[in-house]
Amino acid sequence: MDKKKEVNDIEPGPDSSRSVDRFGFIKTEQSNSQEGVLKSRSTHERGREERRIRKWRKMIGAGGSDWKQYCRRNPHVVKRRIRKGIPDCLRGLVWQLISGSRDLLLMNPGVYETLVIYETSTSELEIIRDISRTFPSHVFFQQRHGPGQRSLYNVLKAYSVYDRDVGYVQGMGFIAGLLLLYMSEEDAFWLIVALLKGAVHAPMEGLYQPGLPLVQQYLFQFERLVREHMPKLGEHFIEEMINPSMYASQWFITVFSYSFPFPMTLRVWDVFLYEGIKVVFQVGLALLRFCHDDLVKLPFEELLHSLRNFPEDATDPDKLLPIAFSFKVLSHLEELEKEYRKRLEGPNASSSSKRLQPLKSKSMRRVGSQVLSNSNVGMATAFKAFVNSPVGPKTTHFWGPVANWGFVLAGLVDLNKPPEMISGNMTAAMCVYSGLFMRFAWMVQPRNYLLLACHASNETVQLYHLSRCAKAQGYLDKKVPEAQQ
Amino acid sequence: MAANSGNKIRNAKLVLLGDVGAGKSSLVLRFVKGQFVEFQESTIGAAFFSQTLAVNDETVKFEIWDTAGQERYHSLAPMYYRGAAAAIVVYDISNQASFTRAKKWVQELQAQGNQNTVVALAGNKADLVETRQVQIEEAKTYAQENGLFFMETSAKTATNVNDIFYEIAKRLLQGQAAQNPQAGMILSQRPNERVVSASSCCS
Repeated sequence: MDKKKEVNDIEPGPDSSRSVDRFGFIKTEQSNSQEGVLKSRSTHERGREERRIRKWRKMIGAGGSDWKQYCRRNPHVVKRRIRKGIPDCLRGLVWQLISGSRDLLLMNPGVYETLVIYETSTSELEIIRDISRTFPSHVFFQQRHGPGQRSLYNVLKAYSVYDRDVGYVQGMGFIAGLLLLYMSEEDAFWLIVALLKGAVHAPMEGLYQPGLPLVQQYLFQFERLVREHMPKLGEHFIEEMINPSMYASQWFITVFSYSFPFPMTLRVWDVFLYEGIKVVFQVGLALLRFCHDDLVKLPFEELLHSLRNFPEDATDPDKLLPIAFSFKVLSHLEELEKEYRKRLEGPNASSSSKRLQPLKSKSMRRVGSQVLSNSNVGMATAFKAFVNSPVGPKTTHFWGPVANWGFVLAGLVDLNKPPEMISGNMTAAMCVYSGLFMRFAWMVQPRNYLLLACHASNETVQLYHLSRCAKAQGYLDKKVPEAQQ
Repeated sequence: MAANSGNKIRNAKLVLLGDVGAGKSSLVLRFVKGQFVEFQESTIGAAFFSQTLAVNDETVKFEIWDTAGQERYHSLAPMYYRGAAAAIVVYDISNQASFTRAKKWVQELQAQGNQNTVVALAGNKADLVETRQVQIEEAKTYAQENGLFFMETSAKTATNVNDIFYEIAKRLLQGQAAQNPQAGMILSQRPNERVVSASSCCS
């Protein structure tokens, strides 16, 4: 179908005359300065690096055998060492250990192979189109149909089959590409599964699901954090009509693996895999803080430019990460998430949007139970949500049960009447009737608690009447027939 | 091409829309930096560029939003085309599906109801004549029926790239003069700025 691809097959391939940096990216004139940073780092750190590797090897044990125990005993040591950076030669292994992907791999032998070989994905063409556009400046991914491109394709295809709701989304390629530089295809696949399905931290598949729900949530949270921690800059962004989706959406979608210097990406990933998504917020805030004094002066256009092209200093992990860790965001992130959810549910409850139906009915259930227990329904939003809910007072599912309380009331009034007046057949029918309705109220979606309560009460009352009736007619009195004889 | 005349500078927000791999980023890069890369990194989210163009004695400064092509990113697109003075809908002449997608974008823009938006249809990769799937006539007819102006472009060979932006600038100025002859024109909601320089980001 894509004939263009064949024409382009006479691709340059890895050009041996061009030199690559220590991570395998082809050097360009512009990246000389970045290289300078690396050189000074490597000479400065060489001796220390070796000692660090020894410490790390001891901590991990052979093939990761001691890792879990060490983590349990010394979580703070692990956290501190990871923040300093995982030694490059152990990175692949440690990433698998801290992300929980190792366990997934061991629990699912042969699954990856099946996904790659036997399954077909509707996203295959889309993936192919992006393969040569993922890290095009890295030697591993340059050669058309070379091992790099092939493994990238396999991992992405396998995931698109593994989770067909998500399929393939642009941006995943950069994450997969990054991982493939440090581990095998299968390992990379399970690490993506661990991240998106939430093996250790909260699942991140919402980043790629239709409507990009998690991207929207993260951007909302990030905007609020900026306003909180850097009010002046937050104000400036509002004045210049800059919103975070203009600059930060790729930070979240690719977890800084897209268009940032590679040394920074790696260090961010070390911490991100261990500490979770809060790190992305912290690093984002740190970038803004680093350039704060310049940013607040810039008008719209230059501002956007600066937010996409941070100075070298700002992206030096040794300078950036300490700033990042100085932001305490975790509890605030949780509050903001709740606030965001509430906002989503508020307008959604009154609309009949089908897309968010599951969320909606869940909130209804909660509201329904609040009504039952007669507790504070006073919250305006909760009340509004209840009014508009599928079992609310605008529907027969509310008024039906209300009318049925009439049975209960009538039954209660009859409690003082002589038992001879009770019709046994009618009361028995009422018992069966309420029993059936209790089952209906429980099974129906959304569960109708009002109806359930009503028929549970009626069942109780009618059973009591039935017992009175039975007693009066002598069914329960065993001694009477004997005495008659 | 980029001009620094003493005239007023008119700001114009421009958005690029189109299928994955149609060449949106390549068109912008050719226009803004005069560069072309065979394997352009996929655009994630959106990218922002700016470039000025002199038309006769006036200068238009384009604020260009280059969007991600994948359907999944559709939910982010309205933010970029809302309030845009101009849009370039890009398809790949060697890929029929990308033309279908371009038509959908045109429909969506029309549904937005802003008749002042100048919409251009760009048949990109015009250098790939041997593998052409979308005929010029077909696209031309479609463009005429829908009131778009149409050009086949090639970011690789630079064919018609500056021309399409120049044509947009001209139409923006004409449209503005016809509508609102006396007042200064506002092509986007942003205030005019003093600095005239070609700058770009996120390449």
